[in-house]
Amino acid sequence: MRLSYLKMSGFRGVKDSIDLSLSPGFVVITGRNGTGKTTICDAIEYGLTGCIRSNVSRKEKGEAITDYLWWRGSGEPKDRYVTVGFVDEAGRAFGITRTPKGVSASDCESLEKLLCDQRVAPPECLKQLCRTTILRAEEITQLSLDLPETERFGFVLSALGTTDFSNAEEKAKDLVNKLKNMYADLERRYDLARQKINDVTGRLSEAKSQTSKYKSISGAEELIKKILDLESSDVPDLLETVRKAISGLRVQTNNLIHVQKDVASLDKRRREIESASFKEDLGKIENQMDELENQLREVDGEMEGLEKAIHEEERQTPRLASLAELYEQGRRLGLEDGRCPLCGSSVAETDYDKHLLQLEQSVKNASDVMTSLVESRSNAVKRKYELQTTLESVKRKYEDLSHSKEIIDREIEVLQKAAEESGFKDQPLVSDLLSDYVEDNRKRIQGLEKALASLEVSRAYEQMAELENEVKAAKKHRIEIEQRMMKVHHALRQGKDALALIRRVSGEMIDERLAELSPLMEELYFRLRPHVDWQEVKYCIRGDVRRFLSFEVGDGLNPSFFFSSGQRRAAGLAFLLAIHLSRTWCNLSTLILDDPVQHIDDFRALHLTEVLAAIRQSGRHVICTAEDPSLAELLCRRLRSEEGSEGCLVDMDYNSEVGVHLSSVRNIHPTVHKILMSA
Amino acid sequence: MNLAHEARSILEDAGYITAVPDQDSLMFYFEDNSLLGFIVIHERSETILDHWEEQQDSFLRHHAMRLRREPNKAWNVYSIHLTSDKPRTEVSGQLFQIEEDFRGTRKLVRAGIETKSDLLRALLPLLPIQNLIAVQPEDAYENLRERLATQNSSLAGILGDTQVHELVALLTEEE
Repeated sequence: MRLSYLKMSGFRGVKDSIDLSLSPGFVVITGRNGTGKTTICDAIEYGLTGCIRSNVSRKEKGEAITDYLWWRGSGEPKDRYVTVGFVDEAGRAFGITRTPKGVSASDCESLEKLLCDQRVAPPECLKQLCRTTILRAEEITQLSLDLPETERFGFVLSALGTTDFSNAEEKAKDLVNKLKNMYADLERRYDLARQKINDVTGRLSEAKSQTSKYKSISGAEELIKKILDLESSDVPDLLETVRKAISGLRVQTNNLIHVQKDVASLDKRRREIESASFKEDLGKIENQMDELENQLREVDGEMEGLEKAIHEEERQTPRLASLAELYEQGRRLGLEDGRCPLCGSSVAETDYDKHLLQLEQSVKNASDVMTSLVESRSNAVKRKYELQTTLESVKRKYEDLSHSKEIIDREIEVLQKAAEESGFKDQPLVSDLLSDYVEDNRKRIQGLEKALASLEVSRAYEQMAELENEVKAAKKHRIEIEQRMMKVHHALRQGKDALALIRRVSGEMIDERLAELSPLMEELYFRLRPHVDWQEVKYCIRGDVRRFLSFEVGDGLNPSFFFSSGQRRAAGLAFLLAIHLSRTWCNLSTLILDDPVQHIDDFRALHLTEVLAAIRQSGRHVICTAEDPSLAELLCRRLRSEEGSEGCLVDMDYNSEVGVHLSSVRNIHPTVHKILMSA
Repeated sequence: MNLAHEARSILEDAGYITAVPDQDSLMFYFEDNSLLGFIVIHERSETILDHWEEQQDSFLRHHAMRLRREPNKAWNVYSIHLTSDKPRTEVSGQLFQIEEDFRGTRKLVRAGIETKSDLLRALLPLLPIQNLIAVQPEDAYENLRERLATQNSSLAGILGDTQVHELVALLTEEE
């Protein structure tokens, strides 16, 4: 299958219609800049895919290259369409026409099916076809040496069209993840089962330890029933009853111990009251009281006499005051001319002084008597107070002693009530009896405790049997989980192996395809000879998850970094031509090169021409644009126009009226004569 | 290895007609519908430097009349100089420069040819692409299916419509 014709109108720089028959051997298109050489390539790509790829992907002022697919110059074209024609090896013709509204006519059901082997074609196969069929000048290095290693690998992979196992890989990943989750869940369950076994085994060990301490439990129930005076009961209830009874007995016993102590103390006090010494002491206190009362009466009599005497003395008080006044006046005045100032009688001075001295002594005596009486009365009052205090104290002591028995009786009554509440009934409240009762209680508690322990051991035996069954069940469960884990682990290993196998097979396929590509690429590189010293190139793949494809020349040198632009372009062409020739999925045999010799010197342009000739020789249909007319002529001479696969040279031009148009089309006829061998 | 004999064989396999103009010389002609030229086998690298130009001019002079009859073909004349001798470095550079001389014919100069592979590479500009990939894509799915099935027949379901939960059940024998 090859391209057979191209028609267009109103497309890109073409205003009027162009009808170009594409010779079966090759088509060389030449023309100055802007004469529509690239438009031919654009039209072919547009016809195949409905769009054109461009390195101008940006927008400017809201416009993109898609806004310039159709004629934008002055005047209106008669029509707007692009038609691409194909012809297969059997001579059957097909065509597809696209207008700004989409596909308007097509001779084939599906262009994809027509041009691509759907079994192994890459996704978006028509776009992939265009990328690897139409080698544009600006893309030669972009899609080869300038492409990042991972994208270069992806480009090669998609261009070669290996079988896509991504769905199978995703499915295998999902399978592995599900099995991993299942295994993780089983591991958790296994751990839980182990934990349970450990727990139950621990409890079992504890139960065994208890049972080893108490071997006999016979009679425990009878003993309990006897102690607690019970009819019959189930063991669980009996255990609870006994635990409560022991607790109650302990409380009662403690209470009775306190009662017993109080009773013992009261007994001692009662014995003291009833003793002779107590009575003797009581008599002594009575005598002391009588004596104190007698002394008190005597003091009262003494105080009455003193009051009378004081009263008598107080009656003399005015006279004594006058005498004292008289003494003071007589002393102050003295004799007046030998005469007494009171009576006027003549008196000797000595006598006068004698009389004053007598007067003073008389007042002093009366005062001393009074002072003595008052002092005595004060002492009597003091003594009376002391006697009254002592008497009251003795009386209180007497009353206390005389009421001790009644107090003891009342306390005994309280203790009796407390003892009855603690189970001590119908017995005299005597310390010895209480002591016996407390001792009995202790024995009952001890008996109950032993019986309780026996019963608990019995219970432990039952629990032990249950625990042993539980351990068996848990171990069985663990084995089941373990077996399931082994199965899932085996399945997981198989799942992982399957995933690895899918990846391996996928990688092997890629490696095989690349291995197939390698000699072709090396041959093309050698033919194009980008570098005089490094005439061989190798590709190098690394990485497992992200894969990288790089080129090497010489001793591990990367041509991307040290080749000149022309050398890189030549090396890139070798790479892209190798990919083009390796597409086993593509039925289109046409190779299109848009000005491939930019930046390439004449010597390497000659190499390229020879490579294109070799490609032609291999049965390919070649379309090549070249700005240089002499290069176009060279291509026409070398691209082997042969009978049945002739070539043509198309000269293009541009004028403002019709835009891009065909200036001339010259068929290149095959050579008829042999020169050297004609003889 | 007889270079002349092997070179003729390679070119004839590629569709060229060859002829020996002089039984005593180590030169032969070749021609097909597009190309023509001559190949000279040299014993030493230095003799290429000494004689290439003279041999070219002699060839063109000798066939001038016939070349004029086919002007297009006359542009496609090759003069090819081969030797098994390994050139010294300075000679190697000079040999390469001969190829860059576009006057008269297209020159191919190759020295140090020891194997048929070397010879094939030397003549590549005259030959069609040698390493075209002709292998048809094998049924990779079937290949993978078989390899998966050798592990566990259920695993082949990864490539089919079997759901993942069904695969899990099959692999773990879970009913």
